[in-house]
Amino acid sequence: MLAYALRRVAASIPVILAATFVVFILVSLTGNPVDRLRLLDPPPPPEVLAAEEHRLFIDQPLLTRYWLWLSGILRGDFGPSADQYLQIGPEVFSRFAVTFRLVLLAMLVALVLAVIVGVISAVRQYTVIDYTSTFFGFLFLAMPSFWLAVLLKEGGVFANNNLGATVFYTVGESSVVVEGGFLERFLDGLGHLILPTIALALISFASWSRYQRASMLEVLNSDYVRLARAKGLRWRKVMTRHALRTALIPLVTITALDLANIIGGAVVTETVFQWRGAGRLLLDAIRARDVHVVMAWLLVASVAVVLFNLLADLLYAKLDPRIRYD
Amino acid sequence: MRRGLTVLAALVLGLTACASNQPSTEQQNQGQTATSVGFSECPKAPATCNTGQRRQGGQLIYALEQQWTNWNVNSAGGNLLYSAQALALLNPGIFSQNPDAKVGLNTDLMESAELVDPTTIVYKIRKEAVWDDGTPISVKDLQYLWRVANGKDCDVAKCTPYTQAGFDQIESIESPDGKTVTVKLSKPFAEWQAMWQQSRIYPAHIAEKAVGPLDNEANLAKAVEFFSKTVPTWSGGPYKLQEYKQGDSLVMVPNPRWYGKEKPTLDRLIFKIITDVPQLPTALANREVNAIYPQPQVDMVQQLKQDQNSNFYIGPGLGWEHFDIRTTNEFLKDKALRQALFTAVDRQALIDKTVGQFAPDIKPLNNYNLFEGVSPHYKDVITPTGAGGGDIEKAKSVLTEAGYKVNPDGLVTPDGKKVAPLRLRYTGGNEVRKVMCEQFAEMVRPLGVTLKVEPTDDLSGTLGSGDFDIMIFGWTGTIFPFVNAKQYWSSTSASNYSRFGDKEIDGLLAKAVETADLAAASDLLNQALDKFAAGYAVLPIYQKPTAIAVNKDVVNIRNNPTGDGPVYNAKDWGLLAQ
Amino acid sequence: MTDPLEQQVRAPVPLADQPFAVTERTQTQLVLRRFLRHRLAVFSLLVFVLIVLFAFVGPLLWKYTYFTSTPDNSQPPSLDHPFGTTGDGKDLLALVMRGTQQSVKISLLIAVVSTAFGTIWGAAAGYFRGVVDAVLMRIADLVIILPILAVAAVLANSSDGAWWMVSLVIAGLVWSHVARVVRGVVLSLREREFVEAARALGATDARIIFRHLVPNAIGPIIVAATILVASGILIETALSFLGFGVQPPDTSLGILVSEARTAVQTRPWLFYFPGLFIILIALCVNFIGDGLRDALDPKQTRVRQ
Repeated sequence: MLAYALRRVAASIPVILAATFVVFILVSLTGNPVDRLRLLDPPPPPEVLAAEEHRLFIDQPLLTRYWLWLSGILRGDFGPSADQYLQIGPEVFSRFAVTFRLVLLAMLVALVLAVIVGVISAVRQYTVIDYTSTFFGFLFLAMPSFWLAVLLKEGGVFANNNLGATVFYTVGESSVVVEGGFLERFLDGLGHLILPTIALALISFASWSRYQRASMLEVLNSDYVRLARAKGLRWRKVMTRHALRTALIPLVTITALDLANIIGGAVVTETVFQWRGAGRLLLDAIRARDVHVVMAWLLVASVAVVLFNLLADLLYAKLDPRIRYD
Repeated sequence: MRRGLTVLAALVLGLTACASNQPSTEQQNQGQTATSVGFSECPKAPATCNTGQRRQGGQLIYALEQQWTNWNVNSAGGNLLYSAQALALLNPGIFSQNPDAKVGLNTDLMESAELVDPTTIVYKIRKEAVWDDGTPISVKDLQYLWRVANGKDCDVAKCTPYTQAGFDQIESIESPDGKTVTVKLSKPFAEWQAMWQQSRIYPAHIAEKAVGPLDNEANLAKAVEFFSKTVPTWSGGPYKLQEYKQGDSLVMVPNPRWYGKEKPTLDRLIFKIITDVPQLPTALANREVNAIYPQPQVDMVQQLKQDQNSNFYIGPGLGWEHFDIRTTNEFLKDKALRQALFTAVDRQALIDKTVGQFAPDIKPLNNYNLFEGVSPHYKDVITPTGAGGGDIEKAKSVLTEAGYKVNPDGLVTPDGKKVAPLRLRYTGGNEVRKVMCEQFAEMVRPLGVTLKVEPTDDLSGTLGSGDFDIMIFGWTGTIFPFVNAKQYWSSTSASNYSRFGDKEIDGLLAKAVETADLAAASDLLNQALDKFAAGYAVLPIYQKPTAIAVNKDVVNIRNNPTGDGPVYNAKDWGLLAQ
Repeated sequence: MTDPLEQQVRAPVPLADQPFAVTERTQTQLVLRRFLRHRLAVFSLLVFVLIVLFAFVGPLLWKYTYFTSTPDNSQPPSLDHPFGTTGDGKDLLALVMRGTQQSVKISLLIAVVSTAFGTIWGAAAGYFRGVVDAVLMRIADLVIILPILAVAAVLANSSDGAWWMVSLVIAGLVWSHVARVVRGVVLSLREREFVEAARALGATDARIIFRHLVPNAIGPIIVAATILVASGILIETALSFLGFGVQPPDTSLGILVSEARTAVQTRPWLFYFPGLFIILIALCVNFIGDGLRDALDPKQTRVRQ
């Protein structure tokens, strides 16, 4: 198992390297962050500009710059930012900590809902429940996340007004100051998380519940389930022990594959809810053509995706006894 | 449909809410908040409306619309409306600009400030006035300000002062005891009060500790940089900075060594940075912030009117919007093209399309510094130039006479070059500016000029770097027109982003500042502005209304259209006593 | 922003083993008949055609354009302005037409480019197998581990918002899905007798790929392309919403929603109309894709109603 995991990680390294290389070249070609200084009036002395370009490796050939960046990464150094006082490493990790909190919670919510709705609509195929869930599934699948997020925000304020208390927050990932202990802080964080989580979860939920329904149907129509029923096993037992367990397997892979896109969706959600997470960091860095911040961002995101996929594979083996890694 | 969907969303939320519907913060108890008198008196009594009895304690969150990385409001790069508001609580000023457009002495800091003869000013700083480390606020702090701004002790390019006005006329600053300060001027300075008002006082002793004695150019420049990049650990004002979350929020708590007569009652005053301006009314309605001071926009005004829990006021502002043409652009350096562009703009139409819809009294602005109704010496300097009237035929003939060819597929210069598309930029998210830019682009299309409307999210960076061909932005008016005029329009000033100007205008502006008689000074200023307007580099559009909205239990905060903004009396802000 | 493509194109089954004209026609007829039986899909196709007409022919007929403003500021929907007007008096119907046009144009180009590219890539990988396959598919994997929206924002920032640049950037990030689908089909097809026969007759690799393999994979390819249209629209509008897609003063549905995000309470028409159009387009395309999949893949029909 461990050997397999190591082999998987090793195999993904070239993929990540190639991805970073392509993006590095493309981003570097889009612009020079020092140009902003060059336009200052009065312009800084040429030595200052040269020093700044040297600090950012811009005076080097493109391939050398990539190598400098890469060798820096191996030493745990993410390279210099165009914002002189910014430490890229700590900044990227602290921002992603905020974002992953949102992403993971949204995935969890989406997963639980998808399994419940998918299974029910498969078991109760062609009933009102099935048609309703199918309808909403298609609707959410077609709904732009930013539109939904804005709508949820309005709904949150509407609900607050009717509840007479601020339960749902619309700005930021936590209140600036929270009085009280851990419980208060937890509830405050939750209040900030609810709306963005729903916005992010609903869209994944839509497609996942469709999968779950399809794979559940397939299992229910399979011979071994029919056999189990014929043997006289109780319906409930057949469902939980035989059908559900098998029907969950495809969803595990799909969830993991979707992580990258959910992170992308979080960029949008964070924008609508004014979170100071990884999303805003990336958008700001793009606008400032801050190559190393963009690179660090993509690196962290892609490593997270690879690790998550690995985790999914291991889980896959756990769920499906036919699969053995060695 | 709308109702249906909102209700649906609310239902979904309601379900999830049940699980966590326990009191989570103190904001929960807002059911029966007391209601302040509100802003109804503001048109008549701008400086005293919304006054109320404060209770001890509580927190107030005030929204700021922009983040900043430069903490030195006295430097050209750091002089931003929003950072200045937050930093005013830490770095005191000698005078303040009050909501009634009058100048007032900061009596917490000062005993007196008097012009004893036309070239001598005597300041008396209160003995009690100290920085929060106990160091007295003294002549040293004033001398530092003077040295970095006078252009003699430190090169302007190195110390990058936001303004030199007045400082470059000071001959000496002396004090026997550190608290009674005598300032000698080389020549009279009409607006001597402005000098120490627009610049905030920074603790020289802290800079000295960081960079060495402030007696040479290198160290002065280092001190400027030190104050630019250092998050203030000091305070000489009613509050001190307890926590700063980069780009997100500033938590201020009462300064224990505050020497003023009136103590702050709030436990915490929080400045929350929300860069997406359109979100402010929602955040206010949701009590995630308690006071906002946004530039009003159509939907925002509607939303604020509907908000039952907040008071809301739109008042006349001193801030004004304008188009700046970067005259260093290869095409725009030609006056004929600039004249044609400005002649084609119909300012009344711009207003009707935007702010006129919620503030119908707004008219095109026809002076750069002396506003109708504020100054008795107002003079229309724009109409005679023909700019802003929307006369497209005139604009075409200006171009034709200058040798341009107005072709349907583009404008061709006298030397046969096609005028490239020009970049017209505005602050992203500011709908009014965006619409004005789009309308501007549409109005000049018949001239064969293409204006590419582009947003920016870094106003000061874009201005400072000159990364625009035409830019719409606002200057915050002050009640000191001469100082501002010199700063904005002198050809050598870093704040003149159009880069237009000449020696003659510079001379008139300088002379106005040095003229003690207000009428004579105004006349000189108007002469300078006449000439400046004829250069077609900057076109005033309208005087911006300002909007303030606060939760109903917040008292003593009120609209202040001057450069100080509502924070001019932040020490008095509080929550209404029950 | 999930990956609807992989979800919909599950077990691809070849259309026919022999590419003979007679069978081909009956096959087409069969597919057509099966598609027509899928009433929701047919209805969606009809709506989609209407939307396309609305977006491309509408502006020619409608009295207002998206860039000129009228004296009616912030009017709610009326006979004169069926969708109402914006604050500066622009007719929202005209804006939505323009926005829809941009979004449809962009997403169709995304579908065409990425399908063409992905098909060639995937067919080559599946046909040659071995090292070629490993290398080609590893490259295709690059895109999976990166958040598409984030990378699109990075890359689109350097373009000046021209619609085809936005398309190409997005197409460059979604083609690998098509490649994977096509590879799967080709892997199973290449062992069939007709391929062997063609090879025995001396056909070149290129000829086998383009004349024998790709036509037989056309079903899954069409379904994949359809789904790409839907995800293309969602990615494009999200990109424009963030400010990295189409640039003002031109407009797209994403920009319209972005500008109206504060108007939900006060001028709801500005927020709902563009949003509903995005949903409508994506919904129609998804249903069409659903119908096509059922029609092209007889095995799937059993499962569905």
